[in-house]
Amino acid sequence: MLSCFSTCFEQKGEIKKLLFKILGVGIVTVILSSILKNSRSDFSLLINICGGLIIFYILIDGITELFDGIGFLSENANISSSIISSIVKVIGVGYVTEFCADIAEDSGNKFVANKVILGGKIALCVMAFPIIRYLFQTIISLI
Amino acid sequence: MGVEIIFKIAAIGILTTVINQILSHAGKSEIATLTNLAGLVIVLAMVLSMIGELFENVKLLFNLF
Repeated sequence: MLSCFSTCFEQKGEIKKLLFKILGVGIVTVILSSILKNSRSDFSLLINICGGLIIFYILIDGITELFDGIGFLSENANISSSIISSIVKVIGVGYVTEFCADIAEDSGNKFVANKVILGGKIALCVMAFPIIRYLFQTIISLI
Repeated sequence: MGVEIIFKIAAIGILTTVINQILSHAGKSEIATLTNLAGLVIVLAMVLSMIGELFENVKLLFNLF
C-alpha cells in the first residue's frame, strides 16, 4: 500500500513533463496543419492524425500505470477481476471508435463518422453485457 | 515515435505543393498530378503503418480480444 503511494508521488513530476510534451505536440500539430490547410487539405488531415497518434503514444505509460492502480484497488475491494477487465475493454473500444469517428468527421464525412460511432456503441453494449448480468445476479441474490 | 514525423509530413506537403506549382506553371499538369499522388502515397504509407501500430497497442493495453 505504502509503496504504491510513494510511486504515485514520484511520478507527479513525470506526469507534469508528459503534460507539457502533449501540449507542445498539440500546438505544433495545429500550426503545421493550419499552414497546409489552404494549399493541401489532405496533408493537414494526415498531420492531425499523426498528432493524435503521438499524443496517444506519450500517454501509454500513464494509462498502464492507472490501470495497474485500478486493479490494485479492486483487488483490495474484493471486486471480481472479470468486471474490471470488461470495464477496461469498454474504455479501449470507446477510445478507438472515437479516434476513427473524429478522423472521419474531420475530413467532412459525417455519414461514415456516425456509422462508426453506431458500430462502436453496439460493440460496447455486447461487451458491457457481463456487467449487466452481474448486476441482475446481485439483485436476484438480494431478493 | 516523436514529433519529427509531423515535421516530416509537413515538409513533404510543402515540397509537393511547390513542385506542383512549378510544374503546373510550366504547363506540365499531368506530371504535377503524379507528383501530388506520389507525395500523398508516401505520407499515407507512413500514417497507415502508425495507425496499425496504434490498434495493436490499444489491443494489448486494454486486453481486447
